[in-house]
Amino acid sequence: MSQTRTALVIDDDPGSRRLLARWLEEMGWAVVEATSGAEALDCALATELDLVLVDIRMPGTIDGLRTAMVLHENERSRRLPILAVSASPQEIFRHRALAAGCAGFVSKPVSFKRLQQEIDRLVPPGKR
Amino acid sequence: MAATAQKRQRSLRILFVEDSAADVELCLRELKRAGLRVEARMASTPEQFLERIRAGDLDLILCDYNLQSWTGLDALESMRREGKALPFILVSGSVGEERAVDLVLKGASDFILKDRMVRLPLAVRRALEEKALRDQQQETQRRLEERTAFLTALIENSPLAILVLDPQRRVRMCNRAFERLFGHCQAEIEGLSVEELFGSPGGTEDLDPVVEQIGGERMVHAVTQRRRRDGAPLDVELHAVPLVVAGKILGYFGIYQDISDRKRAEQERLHALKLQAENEALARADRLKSEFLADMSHEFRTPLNSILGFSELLLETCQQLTPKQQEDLRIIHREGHRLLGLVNDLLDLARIEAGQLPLEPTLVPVRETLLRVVDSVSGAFREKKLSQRVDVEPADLAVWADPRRFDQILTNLLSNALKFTREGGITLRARPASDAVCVEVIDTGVGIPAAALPHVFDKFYQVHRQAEGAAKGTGLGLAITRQLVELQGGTIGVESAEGEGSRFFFTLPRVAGAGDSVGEEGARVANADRVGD
Repeated sequence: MSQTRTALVIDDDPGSRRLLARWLEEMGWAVVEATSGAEALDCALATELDLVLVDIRMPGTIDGLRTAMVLHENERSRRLPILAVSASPQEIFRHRALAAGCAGFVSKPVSFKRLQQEIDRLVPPGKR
Repeated sequence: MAATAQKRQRSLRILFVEDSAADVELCLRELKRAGLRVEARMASTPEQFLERIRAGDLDLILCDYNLQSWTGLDALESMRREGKALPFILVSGSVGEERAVDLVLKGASDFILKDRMVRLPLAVRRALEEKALRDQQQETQRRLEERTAFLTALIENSPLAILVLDPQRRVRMCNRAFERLFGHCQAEIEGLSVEELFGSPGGTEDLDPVVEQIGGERMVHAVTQRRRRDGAPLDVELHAVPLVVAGKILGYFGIYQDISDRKRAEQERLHALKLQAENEALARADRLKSEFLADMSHEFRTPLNSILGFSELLLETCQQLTPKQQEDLRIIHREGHRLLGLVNDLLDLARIEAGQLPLEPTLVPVRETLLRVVDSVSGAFREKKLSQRVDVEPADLAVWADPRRFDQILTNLLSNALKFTREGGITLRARPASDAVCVEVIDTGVGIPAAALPHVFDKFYQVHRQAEGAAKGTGLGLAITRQLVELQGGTIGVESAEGEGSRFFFTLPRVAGAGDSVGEEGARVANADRVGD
């Protein structure tokens, strides 16, 4: 493993946020946490990131979809892979997430197996 | 008049009923002297007379009273019998005054004494004028009668019910449409007041706005009710107008139109609108309910994410756990999964009931699916020491269904069978059934009591409510299964007897496969797959 990569985990639910952070750390990632879209955007601009995991439904004006959209449209973060995570597994939310610029969708409760597959797809292990 | 002028210009056609040619000559002379041009016709016998008057081209008859074999009176009567009314002047040597009066009464126009022949032209002119006047009167009368008959026919044949009142608002006449509409007969209602005629279904105030306002000269229009003869109320539209001639009210004229059809249509429309509003309210309530359930599902999943995730994370990463602690964590994880199953069922039901369950049907091979679903629960079969069997014939049977939902149907039925079977085994069998494929899940379990059988697919219904831990469920599984089958165009059913196992079966639309033309008579060897014990 050459260099530690950094993931940004955005979720207003502390349990879910902490779980993703803990698991990512176990997998060897450096993790930055944000509790809202606004906080996440500040982080994303300040930190070099390799991956973003964002909860779709969050309170406030900048929910997960909006966050993904802004990140995706920003020149600096355009190529940053964004993985949507949501406790609403309906197809419609998946479509909305993909439309907002997310590259993948994982439903809660998360399956670590599935999470691993998605991350491997978005950030190929060789590149880490 | 042109006709009269024409008559004056041509000669008068006079029929002389006379035996004496000298007398005729005398008359003609008198007439000529007075400037009358005469075309004379002659008749002396009754036969000739009849023949002449039947010819119909005469203007006047000059008749001698005393004829050889008959009299002027005979001639007069003969003419009247013929239905003719020609001016008829009698000429005679002498006749009594009484006789003369009698003759005039019988229709003679005038009477001339032979020694007073000078009067003849005057008498002729007057008779002709009288005749013209009489004709004119008759024509006027005829036209009047014709016009009256026309107006009467107009009213009588009007498709609208018409009622005419006198100035005291009593019935003067009505037409046939009115009789038909209200069941009355004109003869019976003549002279009745409006109140007597109609009664007053809504009190007199219902009648009076119309009748009172009618005092003016305006037309009155009302949508109201009137009673028929049998007492039944009738919705009518009424147009009424006073009949005013030279500032005097001669009566009132009313037209009644049956609007019960229109009323009924209006009521039906209102009813439909009400139903629609109710349906919309129901749909809104449904939508709110399903949104609520979806939100609830989201709220359940969020903490479950932590419970399942952290228990799994701990199990996988924590090195210091004792075997007992590991077992405790597994229980947390397993129960968390059970809770997730409940939430998923609730969400499915909410989406089905909201009509929002997305289905993506495609061709699904039956045998592969059955094998895979059985394989996914092979652990449970092993644990309970139950046998399993998948029997699909022909082997290439395929259904048109959403593969995920087909899986879900099979998994639900299979879990259900596993839950209630302690020994023996479970068979999954599929056979073509006309346009469908019939799939059966047959177990050797506890069976279902007859009383419970009709309810097994009801929501929240549980046959074995008292069953121990492992047999507990939400009571939603079979309800969802039924919905999933029906949404995909199939049917579902169950056969069972207590203690004798159960046979659940469902159909899904069949997709024609290669084995379609064969296997009808069971000529093929049953293609049963034993997938181990």
